Amino acid sequence: MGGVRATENAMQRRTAAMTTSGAMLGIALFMSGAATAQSPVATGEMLTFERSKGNCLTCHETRGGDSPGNVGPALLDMKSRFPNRNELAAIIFDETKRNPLTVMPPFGRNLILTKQEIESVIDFLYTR
Amino acid sequence: MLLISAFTLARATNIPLADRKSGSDFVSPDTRAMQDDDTANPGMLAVLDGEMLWREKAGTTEKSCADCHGDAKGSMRGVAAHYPTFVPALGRPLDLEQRINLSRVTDQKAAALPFESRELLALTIYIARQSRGMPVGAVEDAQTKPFIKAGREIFERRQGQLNLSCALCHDDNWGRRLAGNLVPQAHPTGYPIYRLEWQEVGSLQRRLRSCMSAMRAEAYGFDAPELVDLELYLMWRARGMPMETPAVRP
Repeated sequence: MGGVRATENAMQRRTAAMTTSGAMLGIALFMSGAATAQSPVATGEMLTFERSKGNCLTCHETRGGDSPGNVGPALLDMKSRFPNRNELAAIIFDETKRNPLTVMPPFGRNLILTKQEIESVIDFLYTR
Repeated sequence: MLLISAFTLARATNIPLADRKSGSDFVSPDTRAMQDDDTANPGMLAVLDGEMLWREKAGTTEKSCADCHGDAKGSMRGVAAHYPTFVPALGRPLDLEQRINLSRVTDQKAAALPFESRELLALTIYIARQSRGMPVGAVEDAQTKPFIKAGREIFERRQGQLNLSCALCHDDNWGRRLAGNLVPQAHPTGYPIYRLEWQEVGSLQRRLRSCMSAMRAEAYGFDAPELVDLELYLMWRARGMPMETPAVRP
């Protein structure tokens, strides 16, 4: 439910962003680039909130996410807490390497997210 | 690698007996009130169905459950609190649904009822209702020990795409929230339950299977011995806690 709502919100924002860019950059760009116009941050937000993909919200709170969990720490001040992007990517890819007892799913190792999707999630988390 | 997995299996912290809480302690006050009032509890409709089926003749023997067992209020009192139970003739435990079917096939000479059918759920919930308030009586003895151990191994084993075990949530993180919902301790004292998400009554096996799907693991099929082992481990883990059938869950 929360995931559906969050996706709806993200889609509304995306539509609004496309409308603005369409007005600013012209109809031609809008028509040719509608499918790829989404920013990495917006893609990351979708992946973070979508229950069938990153699903970060199920365990973590973050700004803008409905019905979060608190099994993991809140995803806030991420840029200052994880200035090294590679460290954050490694945690998302397979935290069991660092901590074999972690409850966190190995999103990269178990093919839940691609490496590129993990990068988009980090782009979004760096805005939180 | 072997060392790590052995460590992972061994580490799950058991909930101290005195700290155990029923799933009813994790639901909203509205849901709790619905469970506690027989006239509002939707599971009671299935209990009434079961009461009728208890007296219905079946099979080539033309006998009902009541023809042999009499009034369930007396003969079935406390029975469900001891299931799954070890059946010597089979050399392994059966859960209550399977035991009802065994009696249908061998005593009534009737066809087994399909798992999760309205009839099997109704008979099970009616029998389990007769144990409400009585302590879960699962015991670890020479016969049950290997099956409790097998169930515990499934409970503590990481599985599925999310690499989770039952224990990681229900032993280690109960009381925290997942997607806004409180994580309970997983004591199956109220089964079969009426689940609001299902809008109907369902068995413990159904609940275990949906948990496995949520972990993106391949769920054992209905009637699988592994599910019964897991049920037995969970009931042993809940030993002494009061039965609450029919429980209402979100």
